[in-house]
Amino acid sequence: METLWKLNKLSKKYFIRGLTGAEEITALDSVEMEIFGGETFGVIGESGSGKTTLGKTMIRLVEPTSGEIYFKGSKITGMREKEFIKLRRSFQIVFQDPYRALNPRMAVGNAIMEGIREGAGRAQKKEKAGHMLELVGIAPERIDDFPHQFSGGERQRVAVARALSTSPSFMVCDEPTSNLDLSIQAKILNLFIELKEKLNLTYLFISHNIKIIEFIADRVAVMYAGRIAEYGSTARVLGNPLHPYTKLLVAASFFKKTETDKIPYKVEKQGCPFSRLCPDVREICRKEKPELMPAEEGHFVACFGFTNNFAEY
Amino acid sequence: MEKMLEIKKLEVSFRPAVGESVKILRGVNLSVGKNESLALAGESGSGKTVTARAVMKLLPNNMNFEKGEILIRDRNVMNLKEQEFRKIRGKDVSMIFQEPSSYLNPVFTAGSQVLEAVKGDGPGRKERTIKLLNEVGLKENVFYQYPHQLSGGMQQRVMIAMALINNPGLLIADEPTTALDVTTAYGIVELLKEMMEKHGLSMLFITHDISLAVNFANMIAVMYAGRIVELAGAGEILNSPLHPYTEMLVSCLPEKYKSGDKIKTIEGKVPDFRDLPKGCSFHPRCPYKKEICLREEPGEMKRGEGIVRCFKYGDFVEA
Repeated sequence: METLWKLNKLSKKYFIRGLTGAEEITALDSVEMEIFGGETFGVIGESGSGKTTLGKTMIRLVEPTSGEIYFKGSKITGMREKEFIKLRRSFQIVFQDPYRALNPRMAVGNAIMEGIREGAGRAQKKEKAGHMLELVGIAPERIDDFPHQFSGGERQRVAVARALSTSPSFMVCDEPTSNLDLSIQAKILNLFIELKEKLNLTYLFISHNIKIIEFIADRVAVMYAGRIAEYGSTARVLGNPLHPYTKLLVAASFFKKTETDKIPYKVEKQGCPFSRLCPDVREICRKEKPELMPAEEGHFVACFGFTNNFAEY
Repeated sequence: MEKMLEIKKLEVSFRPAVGESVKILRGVNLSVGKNESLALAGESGSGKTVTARAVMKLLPNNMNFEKGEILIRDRNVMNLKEQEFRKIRGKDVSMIFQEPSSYLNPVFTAGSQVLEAVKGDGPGRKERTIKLLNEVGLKENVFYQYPHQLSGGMQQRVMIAMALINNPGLLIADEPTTALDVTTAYGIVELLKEMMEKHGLSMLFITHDISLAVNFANMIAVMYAGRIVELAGAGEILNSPLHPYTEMLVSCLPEKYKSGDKIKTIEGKVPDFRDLPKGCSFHPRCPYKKEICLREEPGEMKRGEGIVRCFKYGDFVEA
């Protein structure tokens, strides 16, 4: 499979100035990964682990602090806006909350038409927008309706139609079903799968729900404190988790007892961010940050437990 | 066995600003025994939260009790005056909510808010509060902290402490983990289980997450359009659901499928209370519908320990 995205030591730091002085928050910390064309790449982690920042940084809605992003071999970071604008149409994003992602004062047809370029005439654009709505399972007659006339699930469909209006090849799906009921969630997940087959899309699918990721993603990255703790094929990572954090996450999702019973989100600044909670912590974990290393074919894990001489630490 | 809570044929109506009032709960029957947990599951707008608020007598002003009985410890509380019910609220039954941050006052410390809930005064109130905070997994310093200094999980633990400070027999938990992360949510669920064991607590657990309901409760009641359509043990709901709605709801769980498969979905929409379909309210979405479903409403049929409202299991018409 062709490599579509390559991230190299991607980092993003936010500086927050408050009453008590400036604070630095690391949202992404040397993220390295590859995404293949045509796959659904899942990102899983808890709030604050950097999932959303990762998605936004990749499509340059957020500028990274350091590191490089390559898309189809060309470097996106540092690319001039003039050049990047040609690529921008190929990237789209669907947000978590369909109530806030749509302009309440704009008919959904107009929202979709904004992204359509070909066909200069308004009539042609409108026809195309109608097709988009049809594609996501909404009657084209509702093209002049406003967002408040749609239910939550329908709004998410409209948001997807709007995202498709620029004919993207890559889509960031940022928790697109977490605000929806179970039966509607199932329909939206089906829609994403259907569209992927029809339009040959690649997804970065962000979720905190392991069961959804297990169902929809081909490969998955587990994030903790802005770093990738583990990544590889979904079946391997979730079926046979190697990183102690992934183990904990999988166990919690399936309501199994774990060694660490209470899991407060405490991040260690020095050393491995998970070292404070890790049941098998060693001296080295408190001093150095582990890099991603191959544990088996196509399965990487950032944990000193998988170095050959771990016993010595 | 002693029943902590029994609801009989409860009907609640909603009076909109314009137009006629509509019935939101249409004859809800359920009971929670001592040290039992019952999960109320269903989609948004099925009436789960209204049921819970009705028990707490915390219905908004535009909702009215119509008919039915609510018995807390075998005492009918339907017609109690607010003043009298105050002696019950918090003492016999208390409640925790979905979003702890919006139920804690930002300008008071966590400790003072738990203290405020203590019924009656006397010495040792503070000690008792701190002891309970420890019990729910919080350190003593939380007593002096303000809500914004606490994480979502910690805030929910404060809410749990507040709810349990007067040793109620019944706790109503309305989606207590929905706003929380997976691992934090797990901690809260474990804590609630522990509290049930320790304090002999009964629990009415409201959730839209069927897999959570199955994990947490002994019995599950599935709600649809203001009625309980199926009541059964947790295992039966997941593995051999009786009502077509339960069956379809369970089949919406992504974990039931291999990746690449298509998830079976429920066609159609949750009906509007202002315009409920005639007959069984689920019939427009039901694949098994018969002629009788369009005309009559199915009554409650006993099935083992539970009940089901569906003509698939016999023509039992609602009286």
